[in-house]
Amino acid sequence: MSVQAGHGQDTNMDERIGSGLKQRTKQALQDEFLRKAVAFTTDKLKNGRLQAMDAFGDWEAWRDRGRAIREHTNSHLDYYLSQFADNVAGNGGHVYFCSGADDAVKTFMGIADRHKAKLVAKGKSMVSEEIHLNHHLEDRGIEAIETDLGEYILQLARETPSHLIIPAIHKNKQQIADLFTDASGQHFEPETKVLAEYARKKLRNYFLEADIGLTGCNFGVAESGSITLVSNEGNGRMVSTLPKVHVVVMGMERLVPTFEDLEVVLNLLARSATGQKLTTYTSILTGARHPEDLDGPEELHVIILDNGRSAQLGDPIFQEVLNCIRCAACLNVCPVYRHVGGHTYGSVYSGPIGAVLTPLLQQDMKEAGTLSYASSLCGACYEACPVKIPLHDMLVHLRHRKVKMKLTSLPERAAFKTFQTVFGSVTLYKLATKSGYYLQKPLVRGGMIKAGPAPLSGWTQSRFMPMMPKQSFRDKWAALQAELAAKKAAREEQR
Amino acid sequence: MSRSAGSMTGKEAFMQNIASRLGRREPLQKAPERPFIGVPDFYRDRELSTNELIEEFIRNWTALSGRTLIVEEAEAPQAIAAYLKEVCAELGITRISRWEHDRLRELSLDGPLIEAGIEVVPWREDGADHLRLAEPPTGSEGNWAKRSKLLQAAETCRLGLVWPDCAVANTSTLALFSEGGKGRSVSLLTDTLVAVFRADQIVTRMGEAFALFKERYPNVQQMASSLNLITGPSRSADIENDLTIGIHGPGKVHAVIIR
Amino acid sequence: MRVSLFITCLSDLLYSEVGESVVRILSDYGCDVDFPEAQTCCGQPAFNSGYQDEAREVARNLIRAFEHSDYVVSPSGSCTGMVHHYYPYLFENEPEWKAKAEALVGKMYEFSQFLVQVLGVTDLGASFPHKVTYHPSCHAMRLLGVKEEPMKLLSCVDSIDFVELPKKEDCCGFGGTFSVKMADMSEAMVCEKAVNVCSTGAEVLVGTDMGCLMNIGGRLNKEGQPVRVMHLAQLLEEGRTSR
Repeated sequence: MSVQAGHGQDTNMDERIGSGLKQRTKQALQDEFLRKAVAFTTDKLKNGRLQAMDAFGDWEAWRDRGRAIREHTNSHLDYYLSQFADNVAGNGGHVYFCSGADDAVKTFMGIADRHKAKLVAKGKSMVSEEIHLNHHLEDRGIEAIETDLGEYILQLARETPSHLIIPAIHKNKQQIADLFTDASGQHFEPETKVLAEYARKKLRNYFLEADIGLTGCNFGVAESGSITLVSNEGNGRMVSTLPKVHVVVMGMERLVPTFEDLEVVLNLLARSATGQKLTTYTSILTGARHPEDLDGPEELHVIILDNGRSAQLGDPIFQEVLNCIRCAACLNVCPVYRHVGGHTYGSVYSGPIGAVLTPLLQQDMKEAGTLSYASSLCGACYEACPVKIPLHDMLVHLRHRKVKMKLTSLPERAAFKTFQTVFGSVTLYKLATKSGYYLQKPLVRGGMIKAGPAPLSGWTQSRFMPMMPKQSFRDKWAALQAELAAKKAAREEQR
Repeated sequence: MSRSAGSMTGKEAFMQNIASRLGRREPLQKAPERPFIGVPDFYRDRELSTNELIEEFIRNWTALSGRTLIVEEAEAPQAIAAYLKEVCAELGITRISRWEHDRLRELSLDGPLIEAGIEVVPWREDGADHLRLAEPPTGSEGNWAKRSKLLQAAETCRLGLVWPDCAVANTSTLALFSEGGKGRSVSLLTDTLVAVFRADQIVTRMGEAFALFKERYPNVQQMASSLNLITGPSRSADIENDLTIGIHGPGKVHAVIIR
Repeated sequence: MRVSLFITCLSDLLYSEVGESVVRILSDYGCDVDFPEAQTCCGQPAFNSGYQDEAREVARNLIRAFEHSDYVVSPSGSCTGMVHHYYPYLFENEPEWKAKAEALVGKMYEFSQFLVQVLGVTDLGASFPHKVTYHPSCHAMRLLGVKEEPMKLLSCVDSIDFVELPKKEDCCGFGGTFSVKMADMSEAMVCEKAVNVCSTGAEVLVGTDMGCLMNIGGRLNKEGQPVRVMHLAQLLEEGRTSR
């Protein structure tokens, strides 16, 4: 059997991140199963997080500490990344610094070529999705197998993840059974236990046979050059233990200075992601195997990727986005994400963090920047974030960037210029609102506006709008003042 | 003995770019000041008695579907052997792997197990020499067929026996410093994991396990290549949120605590 | 105590009765309420759409309007949140105006926040014998940190039959221009909110922000649902006078 990632879809999606957003939203909203599944899962994860927070004592103190550690690390990234890399190399590892996706892909291919690799077993890695590694491996005829159960299901379906933690959040049992049936030639009933058992056996053989194990890195520890991997299934341990070569691809910001700091972020990650006290497996890998070790990889390669990250360093508004620990808590509380799911975003990273990260990493405000509008700015993401990234503020600042780069429509720009003029002076405000009263008249039915031309139609497609009454508050002010004065006088008389 | 040398590609320009983004002419050479480090104080300062530690460990471990046996030191060898035989009988297990570890050897568990018809694969180079292995599941041609007999044997074992370096009470976590005779595979490839440790090895929180790790390996280059924290059975919720136990790693986990 | 009302453009133009309720209540508690005529809008529609330069000029007008006020009270957590959270940032490069912005932040309160925190009042002696549910507004909660105050005021109302709104902390989907720009997303959110409101069987939905209430109320209207939508100030005033 040959399983390879469907890359056609995701690369196409990238080109149309912005202009395809509304169309994808419509599609997602028509998918009843998707909406139910995403709502159910995110609620479950959110509630798990809230319980775990309660049980942990002074959550705010933890958030402050988490934020402080990540902030300190990124503000001194030149020191800590250098320390980390030196320690990896000192432990016999091979470190490659790559400024862009192409560079990282080329580096990986070099390693694969040296080992004449035909099969790569992959642990969960968002960075490998970010650089579309599967697609490049497919082109080279190298089989890459996703070994996280959810990712494996998606690979069979030739789809991309729609959630950071539960990648196949949008797939139901029947769909999974059908995928397994197609892939194996044997018939599967939609029973979780049977499906999981099949996946376990099937994937075990890939772990044993793989030439290379590929993983991401949840946290690198600078003081020791250790790679920390967390997983509930154990696939991260498998791919970093069984194949002779372990390759890590990681974002350059994914560090903490010390083991003491690691304790903080591991606690925050597990509790924020799933509400667990700790993820089942946390592997802290320091170098390749020692001569006296009888298992573990013989070679360790660490590919450190920039790909738009360094452009955020030193930015007073956006540097903090690098503090993200990829827990997906912001996805689980986001009302937009809950309704439309991850694929609507059209990018590897979805939800509020995706809407901020994607335009920044791709340095593309025109298409990717449009994701910043996929938010009502309710701030639930910030409230949930274990390292307090002000995502709601960043979304507004991204919109500002779009405006500054003149990437918004001419009518919109004109409208806000008019807004500035009219609302910047009370004389014009009064004049305009009075004419507004008369202008609305053709639209009013029974005291309400029930339909109207664009952009009002965006409102009226799902809501009525109250009509503007003839008298505004300021028109009534004099009368109100008189009423209060009379009341006051009456009170004083009583006294 | 030391490892082969590592290598570094593209560091200088990369670091220079980061430094200049951070407003520095040269990458920072001196360790930055740390006004804070690690967990908040209220969490760090929590102290529990041995009994409280045992209770907390068991409460968390049980919530994750882990099973626990507490044995008194004097009766440990017999009681643990009996327990292992019982678990093996229950699951029809006839071959187990174990760490090559002094504390486990002192319990003399191999004898009673072998008597009960259970093959034991100790994690040492010749640990599987006495076994006859069937053809590997992936056939006689591929990578797996060329791997060490020990590794291949470990993959056929359905129970792994380890002696964790410590256990963490507030998350019910086993901390395994894997190196040499303390192989990674023993706690990974089997369906069932049994961890035996002494009550005084239980600490309150993860940070204490890390402190022990750093104390054991003051030199970074000597650090065990793998520190594994194991918190309950392997699990997944990827199929419609149904909790599935034992997806890649062991689905059944036992803690045997010697008091 | 001298208090200036910041009515907000929405309540000025569409919901004047909310302003009247606020003024009557504050006046009953001894506040000498005035209405600086120069005020218009906080500038949030422009700011949230990315038009910071345009928002800044509207903000300047608001700052000027309240320059001589002791306290400023507004029936909107969102507009108050805009001032608190973003005004100092907007004038980052203009020290003189930044100081003025900070001065406004220091004296500006949302209505329920002012009652509870400044006047120290929670029991207004109101009686409201109806089944009521409450939608907490995102910006009041998250930009301004006003979480407990509205509930404190409601819990002191006599004869009220209060039911909690399921998923109350979820945004209603208003989001200003979001509601027209991303109309489908907004629709999905407001529909869910309306379903949750109706599931409580409440006769009255109360809130502290007319933007959210216009949105949810507009949906309930379109569905023909007989739920009355009120600002907290209206409910309290009605509860006081009916007594």
